[in-house]
Amino acid sequence: MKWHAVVAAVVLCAAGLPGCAPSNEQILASEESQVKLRGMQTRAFDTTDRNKMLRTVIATMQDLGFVIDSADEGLGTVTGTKVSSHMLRLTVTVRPRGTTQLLVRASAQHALHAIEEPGPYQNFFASLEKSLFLTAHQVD
Amino acid sequence: MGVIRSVLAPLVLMCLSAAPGCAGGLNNELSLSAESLQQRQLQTRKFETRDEGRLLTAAVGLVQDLGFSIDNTQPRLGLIVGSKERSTSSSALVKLGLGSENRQRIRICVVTHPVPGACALRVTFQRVVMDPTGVVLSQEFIDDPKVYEEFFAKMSKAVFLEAQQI
Repeated sequence: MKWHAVVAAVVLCAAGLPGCAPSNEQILASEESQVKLRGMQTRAFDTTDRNKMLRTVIATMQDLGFVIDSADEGLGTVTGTKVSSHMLRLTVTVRPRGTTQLLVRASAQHALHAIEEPGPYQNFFASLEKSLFLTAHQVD
Repeated sequence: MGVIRSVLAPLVLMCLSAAPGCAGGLNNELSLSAESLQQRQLQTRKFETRDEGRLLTAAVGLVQDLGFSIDNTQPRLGLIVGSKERSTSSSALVKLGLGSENRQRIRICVVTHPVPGACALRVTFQRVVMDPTGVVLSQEFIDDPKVYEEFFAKMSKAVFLEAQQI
């Protein structure tokens, strides 16, 4: 019977369940490479109207069911929370790229994880494109 | 073998559900739904003013009237965010000391934006219900049309009061 307990303990540790001190590893951890992550989270738009872009980001997030937590026009950031079957937190930043474009980056987290798959971001930018009537360009 | 299976199966399920790869269901969370337009209409009204600042000031007054604290404002983006914590019971029951011990945190977000010849105002609400120790029991986006109708009736009054400087 003892080895049943051993198997259970090993699996519990592997799953990172409680029982150990919090690991510092999580503070600066990210699953994906920085370049790959930025690629999937960022799009360039052919506009320089930052205020309009930030307002459209807010409107798109509201359309998606987010309640805005905070926004800062100076830094170009918007953060919101969505509560549904999932609890999602989304931060969007807007900054100039050269003299003709704006770079929009979205980063989301769900429960205890950063979302590091391209699918949700593709859907977010598709929604933003519709609100902006502008095409989102993939950033190399 | 039966014992091993009964121990391992729930653990494997727990691991899978906690894994970051479960973003499949999340894809839809960042897509516009069929109800998005309907929701937007429910949550938005146009006000016959081109003065966005004045509309925001009236909205701040209403948010305070409704007992919310202001958490964040960004006038250049037309944004007001507020929150309040209350019992989950009706105020009548609370006054009688019969209220539930559970509490709800209600968040309000007001966003204004200029439209041709007017200003639009959109409001959204979210609620998180907690037990007395702070454990979250439920969380939801509030989509009851009555809440929005009542808010906008009060908003019209707030705009009037703002114009009269009351």
